[in-house]
Amino acid sequence: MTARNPAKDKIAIAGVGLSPYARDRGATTELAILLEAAVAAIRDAGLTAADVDGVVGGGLLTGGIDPATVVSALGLPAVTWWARAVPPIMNHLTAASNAVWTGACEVALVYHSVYRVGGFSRSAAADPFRRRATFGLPDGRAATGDGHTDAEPWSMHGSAGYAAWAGRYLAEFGATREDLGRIAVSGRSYAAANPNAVLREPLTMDAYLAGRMIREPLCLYDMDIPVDGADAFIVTTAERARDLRQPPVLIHAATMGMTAPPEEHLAASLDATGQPLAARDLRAKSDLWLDDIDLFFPYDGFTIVALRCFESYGFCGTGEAGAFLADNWDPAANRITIKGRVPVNPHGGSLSEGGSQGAGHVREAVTQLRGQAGGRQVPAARVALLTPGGFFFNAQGLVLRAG
Amino acid sequence: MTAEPSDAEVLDLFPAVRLDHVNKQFYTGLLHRELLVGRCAECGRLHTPLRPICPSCWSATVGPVPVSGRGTVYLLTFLHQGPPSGGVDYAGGFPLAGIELAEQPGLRIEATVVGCPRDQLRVGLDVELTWIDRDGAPWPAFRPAGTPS
Repeated sequence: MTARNPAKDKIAIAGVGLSPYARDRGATTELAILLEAAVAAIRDAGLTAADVDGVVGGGLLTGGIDPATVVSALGLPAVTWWARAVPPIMNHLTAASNAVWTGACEVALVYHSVYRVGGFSRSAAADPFRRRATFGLPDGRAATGDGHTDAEPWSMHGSAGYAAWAGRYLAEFGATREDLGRIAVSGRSYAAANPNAVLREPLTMDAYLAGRMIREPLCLYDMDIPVDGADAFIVTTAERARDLRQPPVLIHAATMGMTAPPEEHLAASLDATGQPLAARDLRAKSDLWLDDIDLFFPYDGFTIVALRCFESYGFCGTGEAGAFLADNWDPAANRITIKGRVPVNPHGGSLSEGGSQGAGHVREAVTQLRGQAGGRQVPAARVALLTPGGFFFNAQGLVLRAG
Repeated sequence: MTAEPSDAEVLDLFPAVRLDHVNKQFYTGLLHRELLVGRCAECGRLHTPLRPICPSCWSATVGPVPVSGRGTVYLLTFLHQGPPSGGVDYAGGFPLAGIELAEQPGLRIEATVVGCPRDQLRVGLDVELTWIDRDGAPWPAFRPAGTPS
C-alpha cells in the first residue's frame, strides 16, 4: 500500500461507447456487441482507428474476447500495447491508465462485454452455441487454474460465497433483509430515469421481501441481472484529452485490494477482505473524499457488497450500514440520497441496469461528470467515488473528477 | 488399507476436476474416505486447499494429513436453485456451509450438511465429518456432532 500517486489527474477518460444492455440480444455474438461499443467510444472521442495504439479488455462469462481479435476486427493499423483483462472494470482501466502513463501507448481502447452463457441464464442455456461458449471444464472447476476450485452447489466460489457472508453479516450484526432491500429498491428507483436499464419498474420493499429466494438469504432482487451488452472507453493523457471532442474526465485516484486468503470460504472476516483495503489505499491516494463527492457508485453485483461499501469506505462503522441507509433514505423518491445531496448509483446500478462488472458504473460516472446525463443529470456533478468489484479477489476503487 | 488407486483411476473417478500432481492427493484421499489438509513440517501450520509451499512460511516441506472431522458451521447458505447435480435437491434449500475445522482457527472447507433439520442448522453448530456419494465417488459432508452412526 502506498500513497504515491504520480499519475493523479494526468490520465483521462476521453470517450465512452455503449452497446445497449438487454435481457436477451438474441442471435448475435459477443464480438458484435463489443465492436458496437468500441466504435462508439472511438467516435465519441473524435478519433479514428489510426489513433488507437493501445487495446485492453475482456469479459467474465466467456473468458472474453482477445485484444488481437479486436485489433483484427477494427483494422487497427498500429498498436504498441495490449493486454487481456479479467473483470471487474478496474483491471482494464488501471492497465490502460498505467500504459498511457508510462508511454506504452498514447490512446488506449478499453472494452468490456457481457454475453450470457449457459449456467448463468436459463434462456442462454437453451442455446447450444452459448453453452459451448462457457470456458473451462463443464462445471467451471478449472476457472482459477487451481483444481480445488469447485462449482455450485458444492462451492462458495462466486455467488454462493456472497450469500453465505450475507447470512453471517445478518446474524452477527442483527441486520435484516430490509437493510439489503434498501439497496435493491433504491437502485430500481434511480433506474427509472435510465433508458439503458433493463429493469425500470418500481420495486417496493414488500415485493423485495417476497422475492423468490435463490441463495438464502439472497433473493432474486439481491443479485445483478444478466444482460447482453458492452461498454468501451478511450483512455489517454489529460493533455491530449483536452484537445478532443468531449470534456475530459480525469482519473484522480485508482486502486485495487486483495488479501490472503481471497477464497470466499477462507476469509477471516469481512473487515479483513480486499474491499476495506481498497478503501484505505484509495483514501491514501486521493485528495478528494466523502465530503467532496457529488456521486457515489457502490458496486452492487450483490446487495451485500453495496451495503458493505458504506462501511468499508467510512460512511459508517461495521454493522451500521442498515441504520445509515435508513437515515439517508428519501421516502418521497424511495431511494438513498446521502445527506440529502449525493445520489447513489444514479443509473440504477448492476441490480437494475444490468450486471456489467462495474463497467456501467464507470460509464454513468463519466456521463454525469461531463454533464450529459439528460433527465437524470445531477446538477454540478464534479467528483465521483466508485467501488467496482466485490469483497474477496476483485475489490477496486476509483475517484473520477471533471477535467 | 485399500491399495493406492492409480492416477488413471483417480482421473477416471473425478472427470470434471482439473486434477494435478498436488491436488490429486486430496482427491485420492476422498477415495479412502479421508479428508486431507496440508501441513507444514517446518512451522506446523495447516492449510486448505493443498498448496505446493506453506502459505505461512513458504517452506516446501508440506504434505497432506488427515483431520479429525470435527468442526463448526462458520458460513452457511441455502441454495434454492442451481445446476443439476447428482443427489442434490434444491427444494427447500440445499445447504452449503463453510466448515471451520477443529484443528486450527480459520482452517475451513466447503461442504454440505446432512441429517440436520432445517430449523436447527445455523452458524455455530458443532458438526462432524460424514461421507456422501457425488457422481459415483465418496464426497465429504458434515452432520450434527454426536449423530448416531
